[in-house]
Amino acid sequence: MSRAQPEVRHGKRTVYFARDIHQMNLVLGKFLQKSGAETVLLVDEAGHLVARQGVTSPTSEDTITALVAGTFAAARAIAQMLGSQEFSSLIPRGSGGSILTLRAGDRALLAVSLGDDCAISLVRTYALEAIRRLDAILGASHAAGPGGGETDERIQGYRFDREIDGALNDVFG
Amino acid sequence: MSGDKAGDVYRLVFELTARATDVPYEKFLDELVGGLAAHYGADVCRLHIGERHSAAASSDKSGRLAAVPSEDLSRFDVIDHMLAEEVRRDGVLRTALDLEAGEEIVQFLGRVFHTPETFAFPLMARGKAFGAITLFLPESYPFEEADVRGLQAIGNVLYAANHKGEAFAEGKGAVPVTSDKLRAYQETLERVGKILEELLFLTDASNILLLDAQGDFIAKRGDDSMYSSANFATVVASGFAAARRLSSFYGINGTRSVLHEGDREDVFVIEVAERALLCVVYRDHSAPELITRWTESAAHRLREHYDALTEARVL
Repeated sequence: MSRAQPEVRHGKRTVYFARDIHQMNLVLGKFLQKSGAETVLLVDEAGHLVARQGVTSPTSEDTITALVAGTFAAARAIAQMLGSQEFSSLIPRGSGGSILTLRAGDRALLAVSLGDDCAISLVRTYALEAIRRLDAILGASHAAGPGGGETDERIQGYRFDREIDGALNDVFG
Repeated sequence: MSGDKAGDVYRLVFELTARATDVPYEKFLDELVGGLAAHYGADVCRLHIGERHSAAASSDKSGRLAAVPSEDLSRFDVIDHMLAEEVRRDGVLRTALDLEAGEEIVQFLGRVFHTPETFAFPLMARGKAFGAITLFLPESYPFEEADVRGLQAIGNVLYAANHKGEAFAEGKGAVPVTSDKLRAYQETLERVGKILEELLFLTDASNILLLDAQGDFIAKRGDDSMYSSANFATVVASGFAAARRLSSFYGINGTRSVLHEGDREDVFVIEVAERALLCVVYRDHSAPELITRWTESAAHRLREHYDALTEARVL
């Protein structure tokens, strides 16, 4: 996230601590409750799922996170070409709502699925607040270090050990 | 603000401005004031552009202005001009009550013209007010934010009409060809170019790009940009493909558009005939909903030329 390296990085993967994942899920759960959105995913820039709230199909989760990362990368490249620092993407779903993706810190993305009855501006406001809290969690984690009595409990997010190659194969055949 | 009411306003503005490039400028202005007067139930609606003393267009369907003595009409003209000038000066919406001796003016308008409710909206473009729309109503109207945004979007269109109208001149730079087939291709390309220019004109966008769904750049209209059009096309197309696939996993097939919002500029991308993408790069538009409507309309028109473009191997 935007603060200096609060999480441990193993090669290309970002490793989060169990207590941080738990707190992130609490923040996302609260966000979902307040905004009325259907699903929210926190995905890192490489397409690994960090935290999730709401209902998604477990069979397609890896594919979804890989696609979220792809959307994120494209949006970031477009923003850089236009000289923007902050950016987000909105994918209208026709008559069935929208998918909103927002930058969360320097290396993550929040993907929110919202129904037709949700006000996008309201969801965006709550999402920005959630991102601010997620940043705070990782900042506090960095200050406390990997100790805190849970050193051995660190985990690699949700199924962080999975490569996304398989998911990309699913997408592109 | 209710969504339906906002939708009504944007639909009105879309309909009023959709013909902006198809009819002569003066006729467009007349249709504009007539449409606004009908929508808001105004007896009189006037459009002021720049510092000119007289209105650029005026609607008086009820015939109130024609039915009063010339002395009262002159006073009405002065009040109308004062309102427009005040609004143009600082870009702030006003009513007749905001003028000096406002109470007296309102009484005069109510007594002589039966229009005690008066509103003057600024016409804004590029952060500056360059004119005003004045509405004289028999009774109050519950104006909302959508009304202000919609009317501001009209300002953008009018500003563009004043500065870019010449872009639609016929036959500019056409290379003479003798083959019927080549001539047909050329005409199709000119029509596509005209649609892109019209969209640029309506949206006041910085750039309009047409690209192949595979990421190949086809055409561009608008300002010179710092970025490479070819690279931009590639990134936009890849992002669109990922977004479309992503939405399919959320149960929706056939996503047709994506909006990327940045802190400097926004990019709206819409599919054209399943093979191309139309991309609008714009900044600080007062009514983004109208960008969507105008772009959808342009995409629909481009779709009509799809077969001809494919045959010409442009797509």
